[in-house]
Amino acid sequence: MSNRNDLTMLVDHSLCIGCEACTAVCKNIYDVTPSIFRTKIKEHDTGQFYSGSSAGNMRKLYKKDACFHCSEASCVMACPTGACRKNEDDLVVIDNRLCISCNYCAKNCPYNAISYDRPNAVVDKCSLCEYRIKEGLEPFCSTVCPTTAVRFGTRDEMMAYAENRIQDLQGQGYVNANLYGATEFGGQRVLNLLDESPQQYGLPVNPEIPLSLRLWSSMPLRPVALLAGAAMVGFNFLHSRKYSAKAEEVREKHKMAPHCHFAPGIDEDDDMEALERKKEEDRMK
Amino acid sequence: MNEIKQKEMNVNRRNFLKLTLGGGAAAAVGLGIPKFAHAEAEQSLVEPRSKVVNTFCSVCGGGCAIKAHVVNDRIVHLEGNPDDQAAQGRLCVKAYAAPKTLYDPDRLKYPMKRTNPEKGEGVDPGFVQISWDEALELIAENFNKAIDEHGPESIIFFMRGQDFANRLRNAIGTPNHVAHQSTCFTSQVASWYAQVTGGGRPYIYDLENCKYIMGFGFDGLGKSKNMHIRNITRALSNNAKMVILDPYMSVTARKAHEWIQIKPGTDLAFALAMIHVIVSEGLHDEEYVENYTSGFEYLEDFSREYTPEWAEGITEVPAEDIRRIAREFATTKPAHIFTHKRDAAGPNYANSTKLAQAIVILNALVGTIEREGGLLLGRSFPSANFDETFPRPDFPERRSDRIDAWEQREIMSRFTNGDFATVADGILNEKPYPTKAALVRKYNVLAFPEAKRMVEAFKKLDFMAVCEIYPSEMAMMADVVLPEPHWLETSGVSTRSFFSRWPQLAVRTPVVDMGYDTKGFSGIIVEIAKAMGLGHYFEGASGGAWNNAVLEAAGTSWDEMKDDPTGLWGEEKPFEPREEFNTPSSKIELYSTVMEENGFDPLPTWRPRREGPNDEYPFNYLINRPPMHKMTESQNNTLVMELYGENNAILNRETAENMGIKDGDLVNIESRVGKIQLKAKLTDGIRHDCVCVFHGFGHWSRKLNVAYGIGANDGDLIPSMTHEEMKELHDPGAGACMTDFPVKVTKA
Repeated sequence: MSNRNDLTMLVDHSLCIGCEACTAVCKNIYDVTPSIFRTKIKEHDTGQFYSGSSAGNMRKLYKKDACFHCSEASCVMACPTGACRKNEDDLVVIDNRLCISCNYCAKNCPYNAISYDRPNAVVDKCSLCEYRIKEGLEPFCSTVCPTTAVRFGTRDEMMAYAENRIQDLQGQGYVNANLYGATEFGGQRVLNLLDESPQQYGLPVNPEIPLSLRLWSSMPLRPVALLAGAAMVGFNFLHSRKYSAKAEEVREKHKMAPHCHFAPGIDEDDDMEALERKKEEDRMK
Repeated sequence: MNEIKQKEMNVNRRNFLKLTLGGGAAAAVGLGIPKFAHAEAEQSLVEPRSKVVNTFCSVCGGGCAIKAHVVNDRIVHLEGNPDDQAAQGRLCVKAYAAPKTLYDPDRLKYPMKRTNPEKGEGVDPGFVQISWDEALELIAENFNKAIDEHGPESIIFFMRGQDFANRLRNAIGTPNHVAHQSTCFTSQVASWYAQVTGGGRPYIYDLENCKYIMGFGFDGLGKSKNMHIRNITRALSNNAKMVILDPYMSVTARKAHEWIQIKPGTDLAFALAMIHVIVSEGLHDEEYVENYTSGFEYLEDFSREYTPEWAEGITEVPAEDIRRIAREFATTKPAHIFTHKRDAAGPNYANSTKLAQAIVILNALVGTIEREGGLLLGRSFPSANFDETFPRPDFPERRSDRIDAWEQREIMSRFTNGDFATVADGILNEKPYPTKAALVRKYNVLAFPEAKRMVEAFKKLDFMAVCEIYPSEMAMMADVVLPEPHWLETSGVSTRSFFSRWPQLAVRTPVVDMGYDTKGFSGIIVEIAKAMGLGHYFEGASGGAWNNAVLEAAGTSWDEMKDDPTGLWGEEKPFEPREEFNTPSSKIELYSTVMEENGFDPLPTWRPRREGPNDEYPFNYLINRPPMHKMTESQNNTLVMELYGENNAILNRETAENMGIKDGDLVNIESRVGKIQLKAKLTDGIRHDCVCVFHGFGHWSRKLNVAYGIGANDGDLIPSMTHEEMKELHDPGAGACMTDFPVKVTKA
């Protein structure tokens, strides 16, 4: 049995078809708040298009956006309370008991992998299904991916796969094929195998933790920030109560079951009445 | 954390969160009051703690076997059955999202009848709840009235073929069974019937062993069928090359090594030029062609004029590229052209059947029909015979002429049913006779060509009964609505129509019961028959008895299978290629004698599309759909809609900008029969002269709280056809020409 700290996910983006099977399972099983995603496929356009026979080097790429679980994690350094931390398997997780919803982790993540779940006044992110890993199971997204673009195993297995696959892809003409995450931020637990350069997938090259964040993480006065955070929590509590009441109203109007949180086109900042008016206008057309 | 607490949290995580939020704030400032930790609730979602029930998917015809995980009587996850050849442990996004449909509060929960006599788009039917007895009585009364006054042919069945319904239709004595095939795959079936199988068209691929994959507009990855995407991505993993011809950069085109932006409706010219290159340069697989095909000697003369230079003028693809691809295709082994349903060889264009014919020829020339790396004919158990299982009295005589003129399609009328494209003409103009009543199952009026005209046709009928799980637009047209259970609530037996390399059956038992007052479709049919006085046609017949008969024919039984831990029946068998095919020559007929006998062209002689762009309508119209949606069925699924919530007018960026259209601007798309309005989505991934609209949106049923009013229906632009137009088309595949018409695009 391998060390759990060594277990690694690899996303082979040359096989990702953007079907969102991973997203659907994650949202469904963890009942993730509407418009919040722990994992999501994003499209990136790249290259030049010209009409004619072949398409030039124009490509549309799919990128699985989720937490990469950096060894040197900006979010962990940014968190003033220790809510955003490394668990015993060296995965970046959020302990909501300590979260004051200050959102610093989300703001400092270079990959936008953390979302602020306003209705629940917490931050949400992928934990790599930490409890499944503890039980010797794979994260859901690697077990459900119908094209096996999402893989999971020991770091050695994943690195060996990457080496072979990159060689194959380069042989097929994807000369920029590369592996992202082996060294970034001290090495990441989610490796990204790319068939174009990281920039074309919207990933920062040779990213570094900004000095300001390093200073912040060693700052002695963080308890002051903590108090400010507490004030924010108070505000957020009131705000989210208001939001919940509104959401309940919308559900009622749309005759949605309590489990069904999603209404089309509604996001947290929408004015619900305006939305209703707009729907009514659409109906009149 | 102990187990009871865990359960509590699992049941009501969000309320718990609200309650403990105050405590959380306290904890945050260091008071140490324990707060909700939502991660712990997730512990109960790991598989070993859940109850597992065997079922199989009914989102598409693939029938992937499923292990449904149930915690506290609620489905938390659907997992692909690892022992199933079709699922292989994984499912597609549509299956993963299916529980949200099961739990949809908008579902039909009891039988209803209409109180508002007015019908039409946006009209509230004023449904009131009735009992099953009253519903069946109403149907029997109205059907029998129609039969007495206008003859049995005045009743139309709109549904996929189903043994119980077919028997009821025959017992009534109406020839009118209208199904969707002409809008979907009849062009494919016609070519396979004539050239290879003497029957239907298989869709089972062995692409994972293929080294060169070509597609004429088939978006195999974008349709996200589990077995097809596994097959294609395994091929890509094995270093296969993929070449896709498509005016739109579909998902498959995105993953292809070469994307050829062919001019819409000209794929046949490209295929003919490939035949020319392969035959004139002698690149075909001599052994396969010699032993397993007939008619090769005709190809040289036939293809002489179809040079790549000739094709360049039609397709706008440089001749050198056509020549190179033809050579690569013929010399990289194994190579295969894959195709499924709604693509260039599906019934999209007037020349689609000929393209399907040309694709059979090309695949035969390189020897990948019924060979590894190519397309396989399905392997199945002997099937049970419905008439032997449930003997019946003789059916009454019936007239053969039909409301959709389907009997006039020389080849297709033999084994598929009906035509969505011509039925509106038949009903509205009473060709060849008036029709009065309809029984509909799970078809949406939005899916018909020229949907608005179809609404008018349905309005002309005196009575409609609709079997559905959703308050769809079709249900809104109904006089009586009969609710069916969701497939996760039912029992059944499935063959694997899109992946059966060896005979294997999957069974399902109900995973959950929502407690709604629903009835299974077979049961509904038997009850209608009894109410109509036709019960003697169904002595001893029931859905359960039929499932058992199907299993017995395969060597097992329902009692044996219902508790089987795998839910599967059938041993894996090694692949043995077929040596003979079901044609007059027992070979794959490159020159089709069957086509010839039926008065059609035995070879796929060039024929242009029906209706290309012109000055008034300068754009080609393309249709696709997102991977997570299933036609018009999935738009009320909150999860799917969160992943893909609206359809757009997909336009070429340069074209749009020249017209002053920005991303997100409203645009009108207009054809000679209709107009829709959508937000523009600009992309470089589409030809300059095309607009693409995704199918499935534009729902107008107000009972669909999520789907209502979002996007527009692509089908509103598709012209329906008159009986005469279809006859004049003289297409052996009897296709509905779903995109063979031009449109204009203007800023709204």
